[in-house]
Amino acid sequence: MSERGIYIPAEVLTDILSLLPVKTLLRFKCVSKRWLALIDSPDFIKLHLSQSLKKNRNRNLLIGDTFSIHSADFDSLADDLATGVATKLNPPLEGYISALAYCNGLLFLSNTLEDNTSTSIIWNPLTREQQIIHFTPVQHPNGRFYVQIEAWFGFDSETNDYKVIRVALFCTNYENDDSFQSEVKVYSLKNKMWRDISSCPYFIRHLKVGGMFVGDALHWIAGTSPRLGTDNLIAAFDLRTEEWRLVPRPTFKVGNFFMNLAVLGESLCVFSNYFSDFVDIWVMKEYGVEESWTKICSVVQSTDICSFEYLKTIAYSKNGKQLLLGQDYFSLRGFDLEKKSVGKAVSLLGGPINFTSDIFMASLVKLNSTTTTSSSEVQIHQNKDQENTKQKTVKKSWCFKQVEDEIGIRNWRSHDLLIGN
Amino acid sequence: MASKGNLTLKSCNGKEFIVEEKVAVMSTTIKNMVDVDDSFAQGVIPIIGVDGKILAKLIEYCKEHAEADEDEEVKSEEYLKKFDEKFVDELNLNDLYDLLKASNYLEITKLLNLLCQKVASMIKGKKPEEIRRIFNIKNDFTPEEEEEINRQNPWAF
Repeated sequence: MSERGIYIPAEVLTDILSLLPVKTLLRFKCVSKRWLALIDSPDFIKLHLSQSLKKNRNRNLLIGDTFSIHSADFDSLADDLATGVATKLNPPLEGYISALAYCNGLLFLSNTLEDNTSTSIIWNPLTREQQIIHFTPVQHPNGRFYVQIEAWFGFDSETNDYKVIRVALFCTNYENDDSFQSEVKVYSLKNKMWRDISSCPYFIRHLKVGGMFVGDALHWIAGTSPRLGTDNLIAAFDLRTEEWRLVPRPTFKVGNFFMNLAVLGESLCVFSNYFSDFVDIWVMKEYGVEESWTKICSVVQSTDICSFEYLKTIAYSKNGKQLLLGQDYFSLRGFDLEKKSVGKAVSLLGGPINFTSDIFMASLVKLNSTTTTSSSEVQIHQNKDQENTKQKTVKKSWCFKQVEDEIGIRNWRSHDLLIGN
Repeated sequence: MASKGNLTLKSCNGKEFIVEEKVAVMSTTIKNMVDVDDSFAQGVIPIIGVDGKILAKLIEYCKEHAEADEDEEVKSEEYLKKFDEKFVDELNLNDLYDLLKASNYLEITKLLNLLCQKVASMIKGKKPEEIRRIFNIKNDFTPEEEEEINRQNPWAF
């Protein structure tokens, strides 16, 4: 290295640092006060994140099973999508941990303890910064209702705020009802407050599976009523306007299929699964524009891939020529978009056997709270100080239950993931 | 004086280069000069703070990319990628940093991005003390302050 000492203009230094991995930047914080101030500044954090998104850098596979969450550096899987190494994440939560959502390098996690209590946090696994989310109790309507409650989170780019949204759906018969009731609340991480939002006009079919964050909105497969056989629509909740809307669907092939949502790159992705035959994968290239739905591939049940029931898209490889697919909760496979063929299963060392997988972007994004706590220091039962100590923090229940029962908080298991029709 | 369609660029140590306008205007700075003041297009454009060696390198890069922009058939994306790789690999460190400064000043965005990427991959695995040495940065933290920062992110070391 040169001995003369190099001067680099400030704006160029910012550009260079914005290309570095998160871990390197955390290490470089102690270079000097100027570097620390730069790496910690909101503008830099934003620039770094947008560079990561644009260049597909700092991507990690998030691998979850009932007991743990692992991550694997996606960039090191390289273009051949052959092998990866999974490392266990140690979020500051005990018990069974499940990942509810992720956005801009932040994970929304929840645990379940043996006594059925639960804590939810937003956590940056790289900086280890966290914020606990306290849920307010759900107000149930009078009478007997089936209930579905779920929470997600996303980013409102207008107010620069992360928001948690909790939806509770009530109906008397979840397959044959023509009407339903709902309760929707939004929590702002900035204001640390829950607010009521106008009720949900769409019956979200599979509350747990959706919540895909694209273009400042969360997306689900929904119907106009709980009745089965009604049209499956794509419903969105815009985090900026806090309003519900519909997003146009692709023009599907005729036939019996179920559809599901994913995020691919920065686009909304739909896969229509024609049961035992094939899965079509669609991407909405320009958000909100119906004509921009493009079928990027069709994965056929064949000897290449063994038979599958469920298939989801995870991410494009770095060169964009391959697509990583998750198959039935136990296998990851590359799909060659040029040859239109399925590759060998990705071997993931150190990962669980049955798992769900997603991609998340490592980032320097800060939470408003400044607490950085190691797992041993975290108090799991934070609600003891709260006034509603008796109320259990209910936010997660993916089972339809009679409300006279206490709403169970079940952990996320792969078989909970029901698929639509 | 350069003939029509050509511009004359003059380095800080007096070297003159006659280049096609489409090559020179890959630099936003030069493009703005030519657009605003026609006399630059006729006369000599001084490139302040950039010596002949670095200016020659800049022109080599811009020439290749200007031609590719004009005719994608002749110079494919693949070809340019290889050219870029070779271009940065062959630079010694002093030239790399001089080019970085020059492309920033002349606003040759593509080249600047390429060079930033090169520097980023060079420093990626380095320790903070190595960074201080490379960029001639004085450690202005007290040992206690430095320890505190490291304590906050032990997993990054």
